[in-house]
Amino acid sequence: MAISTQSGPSGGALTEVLELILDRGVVIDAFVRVSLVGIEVLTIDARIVVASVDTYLRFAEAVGRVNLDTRKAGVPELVEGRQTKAAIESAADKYGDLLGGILAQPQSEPAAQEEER
Amino acid sequence: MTQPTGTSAADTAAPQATSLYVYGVIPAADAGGWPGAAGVGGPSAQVSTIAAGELAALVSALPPDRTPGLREDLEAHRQVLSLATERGTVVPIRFGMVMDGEDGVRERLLARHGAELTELLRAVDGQVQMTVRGFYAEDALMRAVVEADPEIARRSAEIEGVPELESRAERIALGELVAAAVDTRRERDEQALLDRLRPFATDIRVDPPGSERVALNAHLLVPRDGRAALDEAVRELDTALQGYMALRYIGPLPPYSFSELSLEPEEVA
Repeated sequence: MAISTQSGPSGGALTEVLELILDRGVVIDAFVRVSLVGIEVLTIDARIVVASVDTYLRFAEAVGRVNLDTRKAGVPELVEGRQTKAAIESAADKYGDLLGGILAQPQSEPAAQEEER
Repeated sequence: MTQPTGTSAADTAAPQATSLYVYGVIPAADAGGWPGAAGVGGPSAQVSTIAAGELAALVSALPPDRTPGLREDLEAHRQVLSLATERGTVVPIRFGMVMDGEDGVRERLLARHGAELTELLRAVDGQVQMTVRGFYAEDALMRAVVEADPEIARRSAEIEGVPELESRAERIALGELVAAAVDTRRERDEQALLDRLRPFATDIRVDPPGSERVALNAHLLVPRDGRAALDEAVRELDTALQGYMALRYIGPLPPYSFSELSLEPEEVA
């Protein structure tokens, strides 16, 4: 894991705390807030992910790529809209079981949502 | 006590008020450790303290005609606050704050806002900020989304090899489905991670993800003596999530995310 507590200067590299330095901390109007000159503010402005047609097309592309990879990796075919048992198991091996212990499972959510209504 | 402990600010301020760059506020009792650091503006801009009552401001003289805003200025700001965090408790002030002279700092910052600043200092006393960011591994998010929803896999297979122009509507519809699945999964992952981290923090701030690959952007306020336990917990999480998500664990930082205080809103001016 990338832990910057032990290595490097304490406080983390500038790029990692840039947002905090620029956007957080006490603000007082008695101060003259100076303008930023010549620094990369792209990371700041890239904050909001806007759902758009481009995003959707990109997602479709990305999902197609991994879908193809999965099938090339020995998964026979999709049968009536459902992945084969092998495909599901390989997915479970890779992420499902792993996450089961760490992150909540999504499968249980629809039922809970039903109850809330 | 109200004299700066450094020499630079006092010397250059002699004939007329000098612009002072302000980094943060510390307890006056801790002011003895300064100066000893170069600030915004290079080696000539030594950091010094200006005290009033129980508070002290970390400042450095800003050379005339010098407008902070370069990368090196951000780095200097970060370093001074980082040093202050090593030495004790500090309430960071946002980058780019400049005041006119020592009297201005003493009266308009420390005296006038003493109560709020003292309260903030007390809230973060003996604690540091640890930032935890989670990034989905390359393609891991897409793979997880495909594998969790046969409908997405089916639709994706259907348009495979079909030219984009002929399957545009289908692609957009599929993308929408994926976007919704990504949102759901990200929120769920974020909550699950926060649940794991919450026991170690006295306070938590969560920032928006900022990009699709970001699963978590959380800032924890942690007692200094509680660091080891959090370090271990983050390490365990990172190991368990390998291949799905990579964690960045940053700190100890000054309590940037816990110093939200806007004194005298700008609208007044």
